[in-house]
Amino acid sequence: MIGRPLILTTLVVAVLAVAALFVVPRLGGATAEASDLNLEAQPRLGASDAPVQIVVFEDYLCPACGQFAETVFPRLEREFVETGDAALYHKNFVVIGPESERVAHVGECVFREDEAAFWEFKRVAYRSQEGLNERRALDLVSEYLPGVDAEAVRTCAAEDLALEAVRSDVGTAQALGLRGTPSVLVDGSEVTATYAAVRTAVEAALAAR
Amino acid sequence: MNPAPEARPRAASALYLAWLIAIVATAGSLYFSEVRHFLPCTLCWYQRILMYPLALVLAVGSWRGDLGSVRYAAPFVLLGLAVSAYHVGVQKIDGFGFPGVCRGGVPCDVAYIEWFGFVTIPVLSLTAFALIAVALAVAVTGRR
Repeated sequence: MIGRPLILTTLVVAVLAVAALFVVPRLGGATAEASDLNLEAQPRLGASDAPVQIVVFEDYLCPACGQFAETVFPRLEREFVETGDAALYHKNFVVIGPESERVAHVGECVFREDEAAFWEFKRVAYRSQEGLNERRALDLVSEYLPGVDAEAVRTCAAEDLALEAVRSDVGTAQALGLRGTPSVLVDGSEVTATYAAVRTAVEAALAAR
Repeated sequence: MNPAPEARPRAASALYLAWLIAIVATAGSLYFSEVRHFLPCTLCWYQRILMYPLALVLAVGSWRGDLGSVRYAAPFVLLGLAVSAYHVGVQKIDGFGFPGVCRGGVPCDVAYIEWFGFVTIPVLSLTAFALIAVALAVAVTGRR
């Protein structure tokens, strides 16, 4: 006989099971060994031997990355990089579409030419995010990065010279099971991409030393 | 107001079983999307739209021992059978349903899983809708 206690028990089990399906995958963030991230080949702000490594996976066409670049990134740079506590690394994760990869590729081409110019490129690219594509990104290089050989960047973009760097970043992101951009790793452990969460993780990493 | 048709033990068990299957199907589909991160294609979404309400309608029906709930469940089950059968056809029969064109989004003819070489997600879905249909039929015929 199907009694109400059985039905109630079934209901509770079902609700808990469904709740667990949503909660459990979000409990543990991704973690990576420093060697998996290939940090020495990435654009870096701060000293390579800084005590804490912050890695940000981004897609230039992702509006949330634009927000992050505008509001969170400058604070991290000011409060942790300039103080020597942390180094910030950039990695690409293509989530929006094919044009994301083309723009990321232009970024890698700029990085090949000049690391400091890369960070300037990233800044202006996010400010020009609306309608951003490969052609526009190359125009930004000519317009805003006077110290960079724009012709060399164009050649690099046309001949896919830095595509491997983009694809390797994306491969790393996929292997880590990252779900979107921006994704932030502090010393190899994924944290929520907010200023507060990154600060907490960086301070914990510093305190653990 | 007429009292709810009283469910006899066999009918009540069948109704409960139908509800259990709907729960397992719902949880299973959420497992594929939330834990395995499979993106549901359009046909999968229609099947979800038809399966998820069953987990709720049949819960109330079981709780109240109300065989009248089978009537409310029936349209979902019948449409679910149709959509999942069509989807299985799309996956298993070449040239059925979708012409060979490239399109954006998640293609419905790609199989995320293939247990034992033939059990894909639409096969699971069709099985669940069919089992629920059988259980509900038993519930209704076992009423008297």
